[in-house]
Amino acid sequence: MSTILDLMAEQPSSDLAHYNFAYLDEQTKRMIRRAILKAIAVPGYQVPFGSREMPMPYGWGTGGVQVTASILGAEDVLKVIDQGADDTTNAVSIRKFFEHVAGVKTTTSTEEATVIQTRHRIPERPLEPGQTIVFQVPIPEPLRFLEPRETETRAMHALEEYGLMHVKLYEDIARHGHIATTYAYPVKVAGRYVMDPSPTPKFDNPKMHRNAALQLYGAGREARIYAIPPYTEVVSLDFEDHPFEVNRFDRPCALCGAENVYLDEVVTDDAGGRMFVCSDTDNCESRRADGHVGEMGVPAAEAAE
Amino acid sequence: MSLSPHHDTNASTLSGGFFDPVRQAQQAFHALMNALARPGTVQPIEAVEAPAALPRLFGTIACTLLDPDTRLFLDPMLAGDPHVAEWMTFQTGTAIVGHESEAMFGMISDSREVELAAFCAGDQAYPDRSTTLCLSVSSFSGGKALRCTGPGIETSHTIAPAGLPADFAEQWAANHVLFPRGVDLFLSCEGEGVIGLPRSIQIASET
Ligand SMILES: [Zn+2]
Repeated sequence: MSTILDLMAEQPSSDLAHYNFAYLDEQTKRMIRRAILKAIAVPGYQVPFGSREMPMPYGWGTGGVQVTASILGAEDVLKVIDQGADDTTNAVSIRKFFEHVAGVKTTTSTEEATVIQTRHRIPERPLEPGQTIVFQVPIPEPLRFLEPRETETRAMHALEEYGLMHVKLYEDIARHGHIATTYAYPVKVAGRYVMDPSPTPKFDNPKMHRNAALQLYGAGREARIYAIPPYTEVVSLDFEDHPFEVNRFDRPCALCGAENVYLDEVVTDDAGGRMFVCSDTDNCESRRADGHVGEMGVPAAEAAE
Repeated sequence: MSLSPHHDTNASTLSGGFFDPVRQAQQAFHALMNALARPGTVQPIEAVEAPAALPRLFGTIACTLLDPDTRLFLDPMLAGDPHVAEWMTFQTGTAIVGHESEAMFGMISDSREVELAAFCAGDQAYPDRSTTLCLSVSSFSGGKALRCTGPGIETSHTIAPAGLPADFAEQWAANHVLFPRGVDLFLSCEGEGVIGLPRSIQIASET
């Protein structure tokens, strides 16, 4: 299997004739498009599809890449984020891949993007009607760690039998005094299907609820596509006496001073210095450009000099 | 040789369809995706040249979603014109089936008589194995007011398409109650575009 970098080395980006637009052939796109329509019609239900091998490892989000390739048009503006950042190897490679095979405009700005492909995070800036966010999903089945057999989990979804999931969460409470799950925290979509929000932190779960954007989820290895239409009810599973709570950070971003955002700890020097900064790099940069300064930040005007 | 009276008025079996397939399929899919994701909104869609008996937006939908992996049901009016089946087969390679319950897609040119319950609602474990129905309507206004609520709709959205069955709201209620099973609809109106009605939404007659 050739890699993205091999492909790009073989073909200068000006020569798109070598590939079909967005890499996938039209028959594959049609099959994925039909699956996307079913996914939208049955929010939270995992639609099986014939996943294709992509010129990148599964861990790079081939499900998300196939969904993006099937919806992308020449006029779209694509943003790709990984752990909230536009500049990680994974995000840069996928962005370059689509620049190369689709010739689309790309951006790091959440506001400018029409399609956002992500793993782990939903941007801090509220998404808008008309935007589509595509999630790269490693394990789409929320019941998998409770029940390894596909026939059984499928039957549980069919019968809406989610008791085991509640038992698991309650065991957390018994052991830790609270629900310990902080990533891929299960949600119920439109009052029916229990869904895995992919490895996003539970901090982002409330952003899924009644989001104005269309949310599409693609799992390449497991060959599943699921969706949450705009303005759909998304409830994080919890208990009356132990309601769902998001992770809280006891400080603002050190660079831009943003509060109530998801923070990453970064090491600043060899002496073990560290600071907490926005995981959403576009949010941090646009706030700093707007003049917001955190305790370790530098005013935008000085930084530009 | 066919003696269809429409023969001289429009595309022959071998002509029409997409002239720029990659771009046109993406644009049409984008409209169909938005139609289902935002039920009730009218999504403009480009018409293709197709045999006269076939609503031209059905032609666009067919070129976008159908291929040898799909099974299409045509209503008696469409099935009765050999140009339509020939064109579908030539342009898309889709199989054409004679029973509603076997169809992955259904195309209904006269929507006043449609029976949603005749089509495939899918399986409780595989609700995606259901029919997507395309209903051609004469207008997106002037019909009975239908109030839509549910996923994809911020508060509520009222539509009034003309040319649906008189008991459409009752038929829809019977379809919606099957959720997650059920059929999904694309209403198409020539010169206007498509409206998507996924099984997940509720539709109530406004009086
Ligand atoms: Zn920041």
